[in-house]
Amino acid sequence: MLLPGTLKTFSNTKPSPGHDGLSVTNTQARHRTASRRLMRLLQVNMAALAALGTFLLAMGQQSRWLMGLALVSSLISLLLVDLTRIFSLPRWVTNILLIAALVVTGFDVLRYSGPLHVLIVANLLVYIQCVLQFQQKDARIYRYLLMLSIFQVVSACAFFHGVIFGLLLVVYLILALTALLLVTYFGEWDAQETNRQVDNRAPQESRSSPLFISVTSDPPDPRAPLGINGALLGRLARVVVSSALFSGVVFLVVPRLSTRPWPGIAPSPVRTVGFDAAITLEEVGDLLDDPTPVMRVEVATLDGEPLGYVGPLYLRGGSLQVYYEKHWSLNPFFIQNEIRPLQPLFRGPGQSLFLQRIVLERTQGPEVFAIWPVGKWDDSPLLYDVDRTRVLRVTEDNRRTTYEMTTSALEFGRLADLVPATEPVRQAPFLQLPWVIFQPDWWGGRFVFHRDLYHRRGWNRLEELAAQWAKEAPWPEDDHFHLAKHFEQILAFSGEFQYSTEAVSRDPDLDPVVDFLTKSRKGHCEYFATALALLLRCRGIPTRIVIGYKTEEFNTLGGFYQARQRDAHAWVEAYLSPDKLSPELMGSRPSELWQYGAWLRLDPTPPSSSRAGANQTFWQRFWTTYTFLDYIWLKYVMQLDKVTQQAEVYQPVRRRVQEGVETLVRPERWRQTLSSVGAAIRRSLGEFSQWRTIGGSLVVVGLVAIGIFWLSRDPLRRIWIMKKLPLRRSWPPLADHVVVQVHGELQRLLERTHSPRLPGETPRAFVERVAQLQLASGSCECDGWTASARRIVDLYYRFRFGNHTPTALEVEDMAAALQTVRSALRGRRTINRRNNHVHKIDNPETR
Amino acid sequence: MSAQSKVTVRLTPVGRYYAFLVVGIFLAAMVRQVNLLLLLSGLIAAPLFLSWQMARRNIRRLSIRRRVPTRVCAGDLMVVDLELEVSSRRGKAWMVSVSDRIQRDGSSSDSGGESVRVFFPYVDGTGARALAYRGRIARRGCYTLGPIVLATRFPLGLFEARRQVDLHDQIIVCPRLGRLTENWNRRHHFTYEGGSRSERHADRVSGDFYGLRSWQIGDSPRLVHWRSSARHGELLVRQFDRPRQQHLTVLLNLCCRAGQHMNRDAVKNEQDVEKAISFVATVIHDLCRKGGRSLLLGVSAEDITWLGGPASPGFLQRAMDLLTRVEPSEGDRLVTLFAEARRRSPQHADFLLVTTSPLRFRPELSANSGDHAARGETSVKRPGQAGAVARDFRVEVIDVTSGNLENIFEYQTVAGS
Repeated sequence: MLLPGTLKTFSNTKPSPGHDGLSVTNTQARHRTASRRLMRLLQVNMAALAALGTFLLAMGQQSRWLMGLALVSSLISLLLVDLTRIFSLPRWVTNILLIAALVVTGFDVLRYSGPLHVLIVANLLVYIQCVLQFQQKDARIYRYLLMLSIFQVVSACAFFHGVIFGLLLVVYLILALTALLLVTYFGEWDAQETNRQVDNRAPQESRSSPLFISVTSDPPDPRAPLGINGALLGRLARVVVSSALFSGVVFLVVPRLSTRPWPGIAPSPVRTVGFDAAITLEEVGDLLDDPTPVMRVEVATLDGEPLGYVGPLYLRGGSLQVYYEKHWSLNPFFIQNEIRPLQPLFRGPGQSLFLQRIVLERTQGPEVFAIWPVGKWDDSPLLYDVDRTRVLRVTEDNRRTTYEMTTSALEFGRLADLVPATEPVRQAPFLQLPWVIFQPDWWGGRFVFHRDLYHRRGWNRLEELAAQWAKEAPWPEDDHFHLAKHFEQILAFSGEFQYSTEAVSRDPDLDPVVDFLTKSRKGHCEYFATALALLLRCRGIPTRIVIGYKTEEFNTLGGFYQARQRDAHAWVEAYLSPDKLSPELMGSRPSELWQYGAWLRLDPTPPSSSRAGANQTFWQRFWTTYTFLDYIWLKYVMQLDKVTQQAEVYQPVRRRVQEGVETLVRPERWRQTLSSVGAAIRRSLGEFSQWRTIGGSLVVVGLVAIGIFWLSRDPLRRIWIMKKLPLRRSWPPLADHVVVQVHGELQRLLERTHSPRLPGETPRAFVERVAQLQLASGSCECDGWTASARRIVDLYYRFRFGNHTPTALEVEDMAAALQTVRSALRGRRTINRRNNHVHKIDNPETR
Repeated sequence: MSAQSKVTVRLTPVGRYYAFLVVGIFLAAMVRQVNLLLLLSGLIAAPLFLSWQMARRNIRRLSIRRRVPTRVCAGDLMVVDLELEVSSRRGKAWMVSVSDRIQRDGSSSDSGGESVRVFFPYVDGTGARALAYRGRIARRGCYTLGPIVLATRFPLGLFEARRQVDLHDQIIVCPRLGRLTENWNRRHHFTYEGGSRSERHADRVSGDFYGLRSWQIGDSPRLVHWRSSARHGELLVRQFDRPRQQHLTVLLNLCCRAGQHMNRDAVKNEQDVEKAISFVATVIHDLCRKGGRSLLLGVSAEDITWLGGPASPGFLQRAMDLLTRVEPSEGDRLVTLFAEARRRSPQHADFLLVTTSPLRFRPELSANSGDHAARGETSVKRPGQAGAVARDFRVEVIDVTSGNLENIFEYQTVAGS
């Protein structure tokens, strides 16, 4: 009520301009009044988001400069513009820069075509983002930055990405959601501040009505908690996790319409080991430190059952026959120039075929690497180059492709060294030595021994070395198998020859292989393979060099081999004619398979060059996991198509659902399940000893008793039970007990939420005092429950002290009253009992 | 306390753009079979649905309380406190904006209302958060506050959940008080003052001691002066001076002049009306503050309303309530008002007539000339009685339209009043 003193005479005092005198209106002042903590979080978050969005785009383009630009721009703008506010672009400069970016982009669009437009537009987004980052930011600018970042990520999805992109996408989601939350928070806060500033500027006018002046709200207390706490982070985490799960479900469930999903704009193809007409020593060298994945290989039975680890895999790219002055090439006198469609391998008794599934990355050449011998399995258009014994793909589109072929090279779960030749072999091309030169003459030409070359280039030393090793060998000369193995062992395990990928200075007078064998004794796999091939040829054993990949990197999680650039390798295959094959060598396979002889794989490179030995266990595990994740990502995300979705998602789910429905519907299954459960119970009971049985029963009884006690503790539950049981509700002992319980519960509720009952205070006085406390605290919500509390006390008095037996209706009345009190006081925190002493002193009843 | 009401959720403009973006990305993914885009669309679609649910939950368990003063004067600062609380101990709410509406009773929502928005960044179960909004209401009248709308765009600003709480409160905006000038105080010190000064005796007799006289039938035995009676051998009673004027009748005649179609005149008349009301309110406030006399207030507005009683806070409140609600009438009922006032007022009552109707239009109220307020007396002709002058009461007439009020009353108009 307005009393004299509050009805002030209003004389010559003008209303103050705004109730608190604030008159600052610019952005900086708004920032000062807004919570600093909120501002900082938003600034840092937006900078990180912008950088990450551009980083994801740059990943696809493999553009380092774009990554650098994103990082530098975000860091500098955060420091100069947001945190220290030293610098910011004026509006006119921003406009000019944006127009310039548009003009440049327009020219690029006209100049280029095709998928490059995606790159150009994406880069425009980056330029605009960089410009906006250097502006003074408000809620609108933050929203623009957020939008630009999302568009960049959308553009990034047009490219081919590995699993790293998927992981970073989750990080991006977290940052984006946090940014959206903070921008919303900031926007609301800023809007509130703006409204206050507007009203304070024009105190005599009201926005909507002349009846009001300067009706403005108080600002939120800057010291009040913003709510950016664990609970908020928890909600955010929930959103992130739910989004990831939802996305996964949608991704798997939404039907694919095509068997060829968008492959992604890929970076330049992987340069594999080249197989042109000739290869040169040292060509493999620069690949040997490159971990870029080239292919994945899974080995399985023809039924699709994976075999797992089968030892090191040799994936042939092709073979060459003639070595001359550091170059391997085809023997020009024995070229057939035959390329024919790949044929299936012979599958007969004693011949086991296995499936090899190869996922080949985008490569420059047409070769398809595989375990040799290789045969056709599916409808992939593959060709076989007879001269180089290599498999070629037909299509010029070098996108990532999966091939399935057969091989007969596996025996007893391992890759066999000795495989039957699948067609007749002319040995001459594989026996040619570097110092035997073809000299054409008018009869056509002949091979002559070039003595000068032989001595000049040191080939005599090679031959002498071969003779020496052969002499030292414990096997006869005509045992080509063991001789070849002996030579291999010397090169690989004698310790005299060292594997090295570093450039080694060689004697220019000698052929590099001779230098390797006789002088430096250091080189990489091509040297070892060339040396072995030539040494064996000196002993009359036909050999050829094979270039491809050798990998031991088996991913136990995914069950596949991963071949990388650094796994490029060279080895030797020695031909054993049928007469050189003993029954022990042929093993259990029928002799018909060996009719054309056999090829023996020899790897003279020392095993210490293997990458596996150099890795620590932790990193091995890390790389295994990473490779597996990458495999899953490629197979089930990037390459998920209609067929794969049917096979891997729909059919298994359909099968599971059908099984589940059958289980539910068929009674036989239920009977089986129940009988097995019953049998299990009987068995376990039979195994129980007497004491165990007694103990178990006591435990069960105890649990039941606790349950009953818990149920009956609440008087309302007891009343409910009373209603259900056939006992009379007005049965005196029970009803009285319930009345006392109800009153006791009321007292507990009031003591917990308001104040403890004072010694000597009657129940009615207690309720009245609590009601007064409630009123004194300013709360107007007490009317509902105080009446109910009084009712309970009245009834209690009648029953307890008035020798009155409660009727069923009165008991229910009490129950309803207690429910009302409980509902009203639900959620009310226990008060601070420290304050209660004041009431004790003031209460006259306690004096 | 607030009652639970339905929560409505709608897309914000940001949410619309976001939804459009999600749909666009999804369609692009399906058309071009870009798996990564499909993955991305799922990732950004889920927050849209979750936002809807979280916005609803954020606002559902909130309760709001409002504390508002029951009365303020027009132009005075009014503070309304809002307390926002989460009903459960573990509940939390973020970014809640509370919109309250103040509406003048009887006016349309467009012109007579004002909305104000209060932003609560965070509320949790540890206790209520309180914020206030404040302002000044320029015009007297009855105002209703409410309903309150709770709104939130938590968490991502994509959806806005709103809940209307039917919590209404009334506030009475009393007429603006001015200041009575020295002219007024000087003129009416002995007229309207003094009654209180003599009321200090322990007994209930009013007036100063004058002398002794013989006892007459009807005199109170308590007035007998026994000593003198004994001396003189007859009963003598104390005699007291006639008390000063203790009754004031304040008449307020509010009327719109007929034929006022021009805005300027209407505005002037409205200002006169408010000025007159403020003046009467100020006078009554002043007298009630001092106390010691009885008052009769008669207001001729749409109806003629009377209010009487001793000058007290209670009378003041009732008078303010009355003056808050009155609106001028089109007809001039000054004569009726005056006649009724004479009937209701005791003898020797003083009259203060404040009118918004120009006296030059009232021939029966003849004045010698000039300044009514300065003369302090005027003569009133009873209707139909030519030349008769009633001298048994004093009337001070203040014609607000003549502009003479400024001599005795300082009044600051508030924009909008």
